[in-house]
Parts: sequence; C-alpha cells; structure tokens
Amino acid sequence: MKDILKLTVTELSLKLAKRELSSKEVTEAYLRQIADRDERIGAYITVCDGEAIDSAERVDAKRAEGDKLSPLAGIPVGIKDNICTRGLRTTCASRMLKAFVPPYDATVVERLHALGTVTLGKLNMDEFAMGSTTESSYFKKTRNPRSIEYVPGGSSGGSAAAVAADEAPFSLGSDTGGSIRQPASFCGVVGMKPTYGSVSRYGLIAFASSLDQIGPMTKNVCDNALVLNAITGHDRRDATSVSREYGDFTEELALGVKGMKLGLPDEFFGEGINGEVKEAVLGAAKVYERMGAEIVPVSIKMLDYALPAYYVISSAEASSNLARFDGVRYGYRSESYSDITELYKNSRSEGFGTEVKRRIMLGTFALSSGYYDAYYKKALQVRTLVMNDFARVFERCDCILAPVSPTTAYKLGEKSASPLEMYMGDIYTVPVNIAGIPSLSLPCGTDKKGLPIGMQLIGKAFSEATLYRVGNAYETECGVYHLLREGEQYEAY
Amino acid sequence: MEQNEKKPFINVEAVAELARLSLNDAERTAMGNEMAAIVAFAHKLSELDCENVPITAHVEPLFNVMREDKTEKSTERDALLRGAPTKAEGYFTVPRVVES
Amino acid sequence: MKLIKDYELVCGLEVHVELATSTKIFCSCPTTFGAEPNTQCCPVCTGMPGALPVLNRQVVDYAVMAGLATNCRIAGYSKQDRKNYFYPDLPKAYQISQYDLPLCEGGYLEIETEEGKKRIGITRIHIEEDAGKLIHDVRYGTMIDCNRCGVPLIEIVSEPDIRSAEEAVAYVKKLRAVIMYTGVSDCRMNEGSLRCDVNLSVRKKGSEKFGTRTEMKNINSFTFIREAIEYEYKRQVEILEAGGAVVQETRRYDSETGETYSMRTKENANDYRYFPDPDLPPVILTDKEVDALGKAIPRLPDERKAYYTEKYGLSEYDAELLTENKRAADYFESVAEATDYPKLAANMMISELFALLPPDLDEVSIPIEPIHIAALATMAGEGTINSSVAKKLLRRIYETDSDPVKMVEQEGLAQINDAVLLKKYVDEAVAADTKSVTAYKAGNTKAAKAIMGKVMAMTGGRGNPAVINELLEAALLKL
Repeated sequence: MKDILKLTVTELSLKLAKRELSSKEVTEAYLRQIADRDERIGAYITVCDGEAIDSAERVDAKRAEGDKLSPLAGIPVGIKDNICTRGLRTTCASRMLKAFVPPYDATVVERLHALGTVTLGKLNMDEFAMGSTTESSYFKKTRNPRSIEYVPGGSSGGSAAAVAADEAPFSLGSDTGGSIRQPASFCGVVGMKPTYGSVSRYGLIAFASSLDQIGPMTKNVCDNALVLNAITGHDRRDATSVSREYGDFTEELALGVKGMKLGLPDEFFGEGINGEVKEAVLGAAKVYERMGAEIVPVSIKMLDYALPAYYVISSAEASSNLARFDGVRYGYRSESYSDITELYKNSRSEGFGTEVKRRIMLGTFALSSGYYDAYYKKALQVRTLVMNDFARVFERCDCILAPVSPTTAYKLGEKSASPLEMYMGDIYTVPVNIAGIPSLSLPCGTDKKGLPIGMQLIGKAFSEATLYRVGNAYETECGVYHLLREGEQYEAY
Repeated sequence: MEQNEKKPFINVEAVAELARLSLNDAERTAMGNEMAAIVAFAHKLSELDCENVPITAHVEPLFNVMREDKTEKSTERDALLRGAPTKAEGYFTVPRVVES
Repeated sequence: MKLIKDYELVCGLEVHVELATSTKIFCSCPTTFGAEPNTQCCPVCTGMPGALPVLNRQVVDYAVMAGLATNCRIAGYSKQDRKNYFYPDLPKAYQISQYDLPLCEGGYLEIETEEGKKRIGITRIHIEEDAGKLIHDVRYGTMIDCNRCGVPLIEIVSEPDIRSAEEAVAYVKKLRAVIMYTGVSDCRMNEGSLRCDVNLSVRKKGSEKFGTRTEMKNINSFTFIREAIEYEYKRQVEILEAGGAVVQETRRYDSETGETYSMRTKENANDYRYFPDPDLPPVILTDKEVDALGKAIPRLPDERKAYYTEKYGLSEYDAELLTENKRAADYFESVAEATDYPKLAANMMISELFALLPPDLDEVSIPIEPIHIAALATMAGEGTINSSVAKKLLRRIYETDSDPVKMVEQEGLAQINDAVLLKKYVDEAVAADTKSVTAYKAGNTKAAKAIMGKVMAMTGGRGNPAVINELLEAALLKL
C-alpha cells in the first residue's frame, strides 16, 4: 500500500494502462490513508468514499473492455472546496455555504470527469479563498504534514497538505494572490498558477474575477504538466477564457536549461526575506548555473506597489462577487430577522467569518463614491505599470527565478493577530496575479526547523511549457523533494 | 489623491450599511482600526504619478466575446429551488418588501 | 398642458425597452413572456456561485439598430459595468449595465407639437439586464420569480428637452413607433416591454438654472404619463409659490388617485459603486459592422410619412396617424398598392376602421384582407358605391371579412347614378314634402336636407348624393 501512495501520477498512469494496478486498488489505498491520517492533518472537508469506489470500478470495467482511456483515467484527485461539484457539497470553507450542493459541475470538473478521474473529496481552504494559512476555514484547521504544529499555507492549504500527506496523488487548487504557490512551498509540493484565461473559471466560486485561476498541485513537475494539459482550454461559458492552441505542456520537459537565461529580480531579495529562504533560492540559482543556464540580474521596480494594488483590486472585486450571498435563494439564512434588511444583514454577518467581512468592507470602501479614483482606478493603472515591468524583464530572460514567500510556514495561531502582517507574506506572489502571467512553485530546500522552502519560476503569458522545462531540470538534478522526504514525512505524525 | 499626507476618513457604519453587514460596537472599533491600517498601506499607491497611464481592467486583450442567440435548456426548477431557505408554489420567498 | 404663471416645465424621460431576442442577455435561457415562475432560469441568471455571464451578440446588434434609428453616434469601444445594490429581485446583488462608455450617444427624435416640429435630444442608449418579478402575498411575504432576470434591456435617456405633458406623450409615442419599426422590440407597454421613468423639475421661464427634480418610476400608459406630469408640475409649482423647496426624491404615481407620493426609502441614498465588470471583455464595433446593421433597419416612420404625403398625397396629420403603429402602416401600404384611391383608403382606415378596432393596435391584427379595403376604396373612388354604403360595408366586412365586390353585386348595392331615375325620385319627394319646401322657400336652407334624406330613402340609400343634390337644387329653384 505504501508503494501505491508513493507513485506519481505519471507512474500510476502507466501502471493502470498496463493493468498492473486497478483504479479500485489505487482509490482504496488513498481512502485508507485519508481514514488513517486526515483526522490529524485535516485536509478534507468532505470525503466521497462510496462514490469514489464506484467511479473507480466504472473505469476499471471500461479498461477491461479494451476501451482506450486518457492518461488520467482512474486516477484519484482531491478538489478544493471552492470548485463546484454537482451533487457534492461545495462550501468554500464557509458557514455561508456549509450546506450548499451545486446543481452543476465546474468546467474543470466536467473535463476531469470526462477523462475518468476519481474524486476523493473536497479540500479545506481559507474561507472564500481569503487568507494565507487555511486557519480561517469555518470547519477545521489543516496542519502542515511536514510538521504538524505549522500551517500548510493558504488559501489552498488542504490541496497542498493532501498531496504532501499522500492523501491524494494530485489536487486542484486556486490562486488569486499566491494561494497555490505559497501552500505548495510551505508543504514541499509542486503547484502551478497558470496564465489568466487558460483555465476556465466557470464553476469556480469567485473571489477576485480578474485574478483567480485554478491550477494543479502535484508531487512533481512532470505530473503537474500532465494535469495542466487536461484542464486548460477555451470555455464558451467563461468570457475571459482564451482560445488558442495550448499545445502539450509535457513537450519541453526534458530539454534542459543549457543556454537559457534566468532572471533574478533584485527587489525580491531585499529586506523582508528570511535568510534561509534567500539562501535556498540563491542556491537553486547556482544549481541552474551548474546546468548551463545564465543568471541575469533584473529589476521589478513595481514590486512594492503590486501588493497594495492587489489588496485594493481583490477586495473590491470580492465585495461585489460576495454580495450574491444574501440568504435569499441558497446558502445560509439567519434564524432571526423581521424584514428583508435584517435578513440580509444577519445572514451575512452570521454566515461570513471575520477575514471575509474585512475584505468585503475594504472593497466596498475602495469602490465607494469619492474613493474610486484614488484606490480602485489607481490600482488598475498600477496594474498596467506592473505588466510593463514584467514585459521589459522578459525581453532579457526566458523566465524569472524568485522566492515564493519571505518565510517558511508559520506556527498555527501565529499570524492571526495582525491582518496586515499576514498580507505582507503575499509580496512575492501577487505581482504575478496582477500581471496575469504564469508561475510554477516548487521546493528548493528545507530550513532548520525541517520546513520546506519553495522557489517560483515566473514566465510570460502562455509560457508554462518553458516553466515546466526549467522546473523539471531542477528535479532531474536534485531529485523530487516530496519523494526524497519520504522517511521524514511519517515522523511528523 | 494628490496629497500624500491626507488619510481618508472611513465611515465604518456607512460602509457596513452598503455591504449589508451588521457589526457590534467591539467589531466596529476593531474593523475601523484594521481598515485604517490597511487603507493607510494602500495609500502607498498615491506615491505614483499615473497621469497618463491607462487602466488595465482585463489582462488579456480580449474583446467582442459573444454568443449566438440560441436557447438552451434551462435548469430544472426543483434543482434551482432546492437550496432555498424558504419557498412557496415555485417562488423564492422573503419577508414582505415595502414596495420601491 | 396649461402653464401656471410663468413656471416652465423641464422634463426628461428614461425609457426601458425589452429587446425581442430569443435568449437572455448573459445566458441562453428563453425570454418568452408568461411562463411558470422560475422555469426559465439557470445558474447564471439566478446568481449562483461560480456562474459567469456571456454577452448575447443579438443584444448588441439590436441596441445599435435602436441607436441608429434615433440618430445616435455608435461607440467604437464600449464596456459593461457592475451597478451594485441589494434588492430581492436582483440575484447577483449587482446589475450588469453600462456606466461611462454606453453603446450609443447624442441622438434625437422629432415630434409634432402645436408649434410645429420639435427635436427632443437623446443623451444615450445603453444595454443592461432586467431584474426579476416580485409578487407580494399575505401568506408568503414577497415571492420572487427570476424568469425576467437577465432579459435584455436598452435604456434610452432623453435630454431634459420636454416642456409639456403633451410633448412627453408625443415623444414616447414616437420613440415606441421608431423602436417597433426597427423590429428590436414589440414595445408592449401593458406587458412591460416598454417602461417609462419621468424626471421632472420646474423653473421660472427664462431662467438658466435647473430646479430640483423628482423622479417617477415605471409609468406605463400614455394617459398616466400625461396625468402624472400634470400633477407633479402643479405640485412643484405650488411648493415654490409657497416659498418652499422641492425635495429631490423618487415619487410613486398612483393612477387611482391621480397623485404622486414620496417613496422616502433609503434606496434613494444608494452608492452604486460602479466598476468595469471583470468577467466581460469590451465591445469594439467597426464602421463597417455598424453600417451593415443600419442597412438592416426597415424604413422608419418619418421616411414612410414622407412617402405617404408625397406619393399618396396624404396630409401630414393623416400620415402621422397611420405611421404611429407599424402594423397599421404595413397594412395601409398593402391596401394602397392595390387601389388607385389610396387617399380614400387612408380616410376609411382612419375614420372608420380604427374606430372599430380595440384601442391597443398591438394586440389585434386587422381582421380584413387588405385587398378588401382596397376594393372598397376603389369602388367608392369610381363612384360604384356611395360613401354611406361604403361605411356600412366596411363595418360588415369587419365582422366577416367577405369580399365587398361580391356583396355589392349580390345585394345590388351599387350606387344609382342614373339622372333620369333620380330626377323622378326628386320630383316625387319635392311634391310630397310641401312642409320642407315651404320652409326652404322661407329661407331655411337646412330644410333641403330633409328632402334629400327622403330621396335617399327612396333609393334604398344608394343614390349618388352629388347628383341628387344638383337635381334637388334645380328642382327647388324652379318652384
């Protein structure tokens, strides 16, 4: 059983195709792991035991009949609980949606189902994807499988922890300001925030419409590319999805980095960064140089402005996106109200947690009469400047190498006191969302406490194949972090 | 905002009203302080002169994304009403609204 | 409308028109009227989590056509914005509309007033989605039907150029006619596919400054528009005359009492926090596309009016009446093509046929084949039948839609033009009605009418009135 849990998606795919393993066996192995570990880890909000086995058996039956199946057929997956799954509770880790059962699937879920994946369950997150520690979940806290006194990061904390704890071979998360990349770096797994518009947002419960993207979280780079192949593509139900030839993201994996230029942005290694993190990322740069890449110093002058712009834009859009949660047609409704105004106020005040309310208030303020120009409009102008900054840098390098977070994982409860302090942790991830460009987060070291350190590879729009190439080169040279930590992992429990 | 020094006055109650949130006294105070801190942080944007900088509302240069005027099957009413806290005779229901 | 002292009325209208597309503006649900509640809905139009809007191409096309038909400039670049507020008929708690870059701007419509033609400016036309329907019920509170959520609307905002209740009605009638002619909406006021909001203020004539204005929402008949404006004008003048100030607010017009009432809701103080909708890319239109849409517009009322007055010799007034409603105009044209007496046909339609139809021409189609009206006009024009027979026949074929030519034949209704026969009747009548003859000779010219009536009776109503008249005059002169 341990062996099955150690297999990557790529390996599982081969074994399933050769019928050396059945989907049922794989699914049962993961369900057993969840049963054993998740009480401690808390990655899952909902687990679908029965349905998962049924799905798995259906795929096995098809394979027995000789049907040609996709590479992902029969492989289990965990899905972040802000992605709608028909007939399966989708809560956004909020009291507001604690009993919400969508009558439709998100497009990415439809696509994965069509390919034959097996849904293990819905994964924990910060409430409505607002947060960096998963501590704001209405249901439970998720623990970092590498060290259980620590947070897994957020908002896709459950998605990262599930992969790190071998409770899912891969998972889907979402990234608005770093919510895939940061938990990936805190938990020592691989996460990709794809180019804005490449993965359909239909069925993703919106936080910030111009920033949100769904992306895969996996044990290694190769798996990540495989999954991204499955979920990218134009969707006529999402007017912001881009129609183009996406190609095969695994194509360039083995090409190596000889002759490539990797940009190291000055500003990302400034005052705020933790010494060990800085060392690890610079260490990765040295590894790349060893492999034949050229390290080029570059400058993202707008770094300091991207964070305030991000908080203005994301809060403003969130305040509008979350207004539909009014207790009228679905979701939580307060027990006490005497008129419609009280119904709205009480349902929303009781249904939403503190961080969510804070963002709604901020966003409402930023859009309000008299402040729109100074905050929201200004932030949209700053976005132009950030995009220009990146465009200039990409003229001089193939991709950017940078830290994901100024620190490694915080202790549970450490960051709850000051929201602003917590927001500061997003400094290196938000510029990527503002510009709508892709970024791959993968582990590049471990700190003295045993916590993983992550680096991100940032590319220009639609250059994911390049990022996977560069990421894969690192793994080929240094090994897959998740698999290397095998022995240590179980000590943490 | 041209002056870098001016900090905006945040009418927490008015904002809460617009957002249909009710805050008790303690919450209002805490929210006020937190918002002031975050807004002061966002104030950093006023350092930049964006006089001739166009806004970017959409990162992808898409336009004219439209669909044909062809009907498709609607969602079954039962499915739509399933999550409704109160309903009657095929309608969603709320307390009587004074006509506006 | 009578002005009080020298207070001028300043009025602008916001007209919402439902577009006649098959599907809603942002989703593919049907838009048909009158379905069972919540049976034409989906996650998008009910604001469910994760749902996203996609713009209906036909909505843009129709809105552009409406803009071209009202002489607007069409924007090469326009976008959609979110208007945020809470109300139970608004599922997303924001309405997707257009704020600062609408599709159409700077147009106008010409209306007929007592002083002649007048131009009413149109500030802008933009696209937006409709909200749901609320039904208030004692048992359940307020019931919400989302079928109408997402039905596409254009909002047509006029400049405050209107100076009387009559002008307001003329404007709405003209706007409705023009829009109906383009085919983009059926403009049924009683079904809510055309709704009017009235903005009104008063000021002393000659003053440049605008007075404080009030808004009356959702007034849905020409009569109510006129009454509401007259009442509100008077109310505001009375306030100012008494030294008070008009409060800027939304008021409700009550058609029962004929008065307006303050609504005094907090909604008046709404901050809509408009911002560009991040889910919807902008709309870019080329001159070529706009021209193509322009060509797709059928002939508009003014063009048809000009055609009728030039080609058929109709009066401006008659032409205006016929073009007020597209169905009537189309009908008239079918008739006019089939007869050499179009002016007569127009007369028949206006004075006789319209009186027979129910007041709202939208509802009922004219139950007479155009060729039958044409035949009637031809027969009357050629003198085959007289005008009173024509009138009677029209009423009869309205019931039965029979062929009037056959009826004339079979029933022998043809006009009697035979002067010899008619002279016989005239002489008989004159001889019989000595009283009238005496009165006529005494100077009462009206007495001749009585004799005329008797002659007509003798002919079974079919005598040629002109010939009879001539003969009668001659006969009376001789006496």
